[in-house]
Amino acid sequence: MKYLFVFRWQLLDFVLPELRSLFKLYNLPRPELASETLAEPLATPFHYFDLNDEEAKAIDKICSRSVLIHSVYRVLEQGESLSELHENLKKLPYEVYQKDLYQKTFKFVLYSFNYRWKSKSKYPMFDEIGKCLPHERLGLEVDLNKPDVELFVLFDYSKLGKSSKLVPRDKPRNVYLALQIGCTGFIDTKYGLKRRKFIGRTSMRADLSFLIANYALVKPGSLVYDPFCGTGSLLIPCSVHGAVSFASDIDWRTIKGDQELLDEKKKKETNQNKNKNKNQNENENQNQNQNQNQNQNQKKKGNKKKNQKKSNSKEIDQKRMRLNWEQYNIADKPLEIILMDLTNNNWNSRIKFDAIICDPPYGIREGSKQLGSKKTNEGQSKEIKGSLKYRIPSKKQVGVGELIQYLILFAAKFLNIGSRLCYWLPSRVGFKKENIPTHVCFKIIDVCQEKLSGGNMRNLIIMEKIIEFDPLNSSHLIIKDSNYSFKKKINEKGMSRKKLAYENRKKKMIQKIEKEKK
Amino acid sequence: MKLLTHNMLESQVKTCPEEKRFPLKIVATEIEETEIEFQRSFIINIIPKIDWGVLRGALEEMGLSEKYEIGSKVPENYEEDETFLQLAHHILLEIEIITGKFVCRGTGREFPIENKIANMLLTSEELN
Repeated sequence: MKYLFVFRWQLLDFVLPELRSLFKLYNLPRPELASETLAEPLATPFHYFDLNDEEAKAIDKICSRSVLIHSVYRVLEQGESLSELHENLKKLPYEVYQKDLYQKTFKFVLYSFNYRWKSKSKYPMFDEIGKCLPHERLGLEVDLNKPDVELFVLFDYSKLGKSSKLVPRDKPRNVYLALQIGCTGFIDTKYGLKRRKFIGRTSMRADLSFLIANYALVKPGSLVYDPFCGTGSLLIPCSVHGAVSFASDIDWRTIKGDQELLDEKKKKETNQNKNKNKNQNENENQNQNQNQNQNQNQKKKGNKKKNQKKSNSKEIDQKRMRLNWEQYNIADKPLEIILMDLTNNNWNSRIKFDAIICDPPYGIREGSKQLGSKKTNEGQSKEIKGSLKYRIPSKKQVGVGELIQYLILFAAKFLNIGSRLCYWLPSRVGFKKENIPTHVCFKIIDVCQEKLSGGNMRNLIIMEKIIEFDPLNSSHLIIKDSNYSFKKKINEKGMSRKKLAYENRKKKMIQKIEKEKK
Repeated sequence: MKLLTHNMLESQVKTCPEEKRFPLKIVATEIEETEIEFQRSFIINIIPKIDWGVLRGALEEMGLSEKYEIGSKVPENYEEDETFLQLAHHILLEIEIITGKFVCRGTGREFPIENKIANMLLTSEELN
């Protein structure tokens, strides 16, 4: 039977990979979902899929996990325009209606994509559709508060081709009258970063982290590992889905929020606040002298706001990763946090994970670091007053390409066969999918690209392990382009574009000065 | 740190001989027994991967071997043994070392555990 899937109109590159992953997660092989048969990226959020009974039963489960499905419908009738829908509805045999609508109360619900119906024209439109239904014979009655059935009128006004014109109201692509089978909630309302207690500079957006958990086929009892966990944003959805999560990171400040350092920070902050308060008082005194009541009040308010912000930031400093787990009521799901460097990891080779997901540091907001000193013969590493507890090992810079290499080799060794590795790869716009690093043990399942600002792009790469790692065969890692980074391309002269522009300006200035001298 | 994780970690200190890297010795100063949701499929899947001797040793080092008696081997048909699965779940996931340290058997290098988080970072001269 055919079901109409309506997708959220965002992250279009991610929609079909998610659907494929969810079908795989629930053991429903769908050959026709393969990328060849569907135009990618999507042209419209409305898509029919022919599902068998087993798959139709799984719609609920799929909707409970999905991020990018908006809702799923069983269509009663459709048409390319409203009048066509009216005629089709009149022609529809009575039995089709009888099954769902016999002696029921109902109401119409409108979902219109790419066009906003005004209520003035909306209600007459409902009336006309209502007239086309055999309502007397069915004993249909309208109940706006507690209807038995919600009849969805779906309008598809998606643009054809690249034209930027809005589609006129009377010329939709398609109109559907349908019953809703399943719908998904909006992830951000519960898990959005805005209300999360502990976040960092690179915390992954809630929708993307839930997507990644779907791509990685995380299910209850999966052993999931994030080697660059940061604030743990990628592991929250895994815990929500009941996985056993392992988090590790090299950055001890994010993970531990070390108490001694925190205390020092607090002292500094309180000192700063005191100084600022003094300044503020002085300012206020001056203002009073000038008798400018209005201005003074405004300034006071402004100061108060600033103070409030300060006190909030102090609270944030004391927070830890586990606080998020408490916030989302998933503290009873196993979570292990370890301070560890992936390139010198401590995992016993006997261990196999069910999924490895990560957002490696690209060196923009978080530096890519590994243990070891920059100089080969450097002496002792930094220690805070000799105590072993607070030893800060020295770190050195690693290139993104090198880091990815470590990651893939690690995954090749430590994943179960059939399990997935999902990671983000930075690049410039125009990155070709052929340049993705490959390994003999892995098959690339999907690549989803998201454009960022400034000509940058990140690629979410989903790989599946297909054969066991053979140490003798480790040379089969192929990295085609070792310059995976956001960094601006360096031109022939060995300068970045910014520096080149600066040099040019300098030259012109010198020329100008010389001319003036002449 | 849970005993499940202890069962998965080994020392990476350069001077440590290969055979002494696993398992790490536990010195626990504060232990907590938390409540973790029982996940039957996970426990059944993880039991064959657990080094049972190491797990017994860990309980002994923490002074819990009398409280939780586990045999030297996994019983046959453990999939249907509900009490055994519950016990394994409790030992692997619910016993938590809050503070203490892991000690490398080969070199005596200590890895401190604080707030349930183990610090496995090495300094540059200890790296492989």
